[in-house]
Amino acid sequence: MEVIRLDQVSLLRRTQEELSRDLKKTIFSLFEGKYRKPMRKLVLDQINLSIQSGEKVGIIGANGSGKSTLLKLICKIFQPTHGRVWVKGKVAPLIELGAGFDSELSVIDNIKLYGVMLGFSEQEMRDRVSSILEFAELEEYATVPVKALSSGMVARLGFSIATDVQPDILILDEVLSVGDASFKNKCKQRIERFWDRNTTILLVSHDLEFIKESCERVIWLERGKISAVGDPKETVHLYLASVNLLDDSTSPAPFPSSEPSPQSSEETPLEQENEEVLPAEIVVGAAKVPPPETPGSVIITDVFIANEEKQIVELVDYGSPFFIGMKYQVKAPTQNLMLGAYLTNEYGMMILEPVTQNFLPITGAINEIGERFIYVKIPAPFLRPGKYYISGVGAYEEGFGHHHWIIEKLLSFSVILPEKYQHEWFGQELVHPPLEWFLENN
Amino acid sequence: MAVSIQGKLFLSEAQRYWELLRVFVERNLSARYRGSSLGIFWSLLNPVIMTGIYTAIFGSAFAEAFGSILNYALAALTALVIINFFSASTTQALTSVVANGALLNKIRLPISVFPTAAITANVFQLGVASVPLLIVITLVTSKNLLNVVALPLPLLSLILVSLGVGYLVSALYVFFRDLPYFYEIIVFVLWISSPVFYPAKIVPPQVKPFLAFNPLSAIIESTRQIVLSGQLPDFSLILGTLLGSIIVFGLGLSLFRWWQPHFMDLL
Repeated sequence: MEVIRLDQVSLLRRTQEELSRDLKKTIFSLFEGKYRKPMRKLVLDQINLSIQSGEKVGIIGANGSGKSTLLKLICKIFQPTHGRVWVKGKVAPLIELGAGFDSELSVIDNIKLYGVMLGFSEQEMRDRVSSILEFAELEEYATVPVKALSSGMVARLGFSIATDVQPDILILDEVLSVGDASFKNKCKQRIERFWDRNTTILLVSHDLEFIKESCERVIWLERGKISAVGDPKETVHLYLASVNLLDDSTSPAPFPSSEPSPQSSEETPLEQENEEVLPAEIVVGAAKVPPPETPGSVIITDVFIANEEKQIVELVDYGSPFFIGMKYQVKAPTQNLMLGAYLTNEYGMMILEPVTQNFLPITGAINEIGERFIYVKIPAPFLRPGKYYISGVGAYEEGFGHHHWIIEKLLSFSVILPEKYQHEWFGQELVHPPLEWFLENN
Repeated sequence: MAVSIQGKLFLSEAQRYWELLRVFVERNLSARYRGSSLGIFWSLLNPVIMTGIYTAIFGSAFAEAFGSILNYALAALTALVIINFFSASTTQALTSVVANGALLNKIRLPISVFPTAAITANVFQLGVASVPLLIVITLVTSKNLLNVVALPLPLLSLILVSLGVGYLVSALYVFFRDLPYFYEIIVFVLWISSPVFYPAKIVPPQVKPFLAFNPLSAIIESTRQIVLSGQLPDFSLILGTLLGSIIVFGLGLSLFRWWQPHFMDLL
């Protein structure tokens, strides 16, 4: 039985600069005759999709390819501009756990509020309070305002409410990356129970291994279009192959070995993509760095993630070292130039702050006038699997001082867990290097 | 069979709207009165204080037009209750959709529930604090239950006008984030162009036709007629205000619905 059907669905959304309109400007532009209709961008392009009851479907694609937007269309949060979305049954949207909570209200009141927003009656929610609290392990916190809970507790509460009743369709958008390990297991168990029953599941994740294992069908979205649908292993493989292919042809930051090509500077497909989470535009793999507010004689223009072959990637294997690369320009001679970058995890925590003068300082050519690339090698296994961001770059010039480009989520990439390391147990630690244990008798 | 049991757990659209309205109004009210011991009676304090000030300043000057200083005070109070309700409820409605933008991006909700809840919370306040006072005044002046029965009709008009304007401004605010500054001016114009603290008589005849465009004037006039005149309710006045308010409500709601498909791009 078909439960979800999308016929020729397209979605146009206003572009970011249109967000800054106000009444004063609009009235003036009307008087001056300069008024123009808001610009819109095609986010999803003629999607056709049919999902049967009980199917488990994974959705993959680069950031900004329209994955979350597609889920939001199915949840009826967005209306399609053209085409038709048809959904049958109760949808449990697990898009961002705890997004609907009122931090001032108590846990119990929030359970009722969130439940009603999800479509249950208040009476119904009153009966469910105890089982929800029990699953979330928050019995002692029933009357505490939500603002007093930790973010892990909030996520637990959100998951517990949304999944207390088995939905017909479960929508999961990267939600399993929150909470501690034991609760994650609990969530997984509950989802597996839904998995075994007749619940239809749609899943967006950067954990490609998890998608390969647990989905029956994978949809690969590329710039708002379905690039491929089908067998999980094949589709994931196609996707990964394309990520590397992309780097050979239209790399935004050419490498020392290749000549800078003119088309590589502005018009890269990666940058044209419109991230659906407005207003931050997050690029994967490689990003242009906007000029600093106080320019010195050095400018960092590009930053990117590269594999050992120095190809730009957005996915990095947990077991393979990779590079953070920067393209920079020295416009006037400098001395003792120092360059660095900020690597943060998905919670905004600073994980690494590599700078050029640590351990093995680079000297000489780094200071000379011209344009060149610099790489720092990040060892592996080291970063735990998950999503990471480059949240800024920095330069230090003697006689001029520091200039930083701290831009949150300048670009994102993910560390994925290959088959080989499946047995590793990841706790709440930030990094996961290979540690040795020693056993000694008295 | 499991399917049919589950079917009962989920509500129809209308029921869901009602449930949502209830929880949002509750949240609205509890947020407003958290940590305030006077609670809901705060909303009465404002018009009472304003009435005192107006009576002290203009009371003797306009006493003749209203009959006595006491009559002036009562007339000012009635109008202030109405104008305060309108400005408070629509100003709260204005930001309601945008304030819940993040939520609307995560869960599908009927968007109009937010301005409706903002205004309903104010209706609740009005009913608890100001309406009993108006009923007492009505009974004292008219000594007729019919006037008390008719009193909710102009108040219904007031609620409909506030809803209509609330829908309109909450929708416009999604597109124009500088709207609050303009709306402040508009509320002031409505306030000054309603005969709140001056008798309608003193307005020059050239200006008077413009005042007819102010939907609050007629509501104030009708309410005063019922509460203060001591005569039987004037049903032609009541009908006129109801008709006008239904038009404002319908217009506001239709524009809200017309623009609604574009909201999600900007939230």
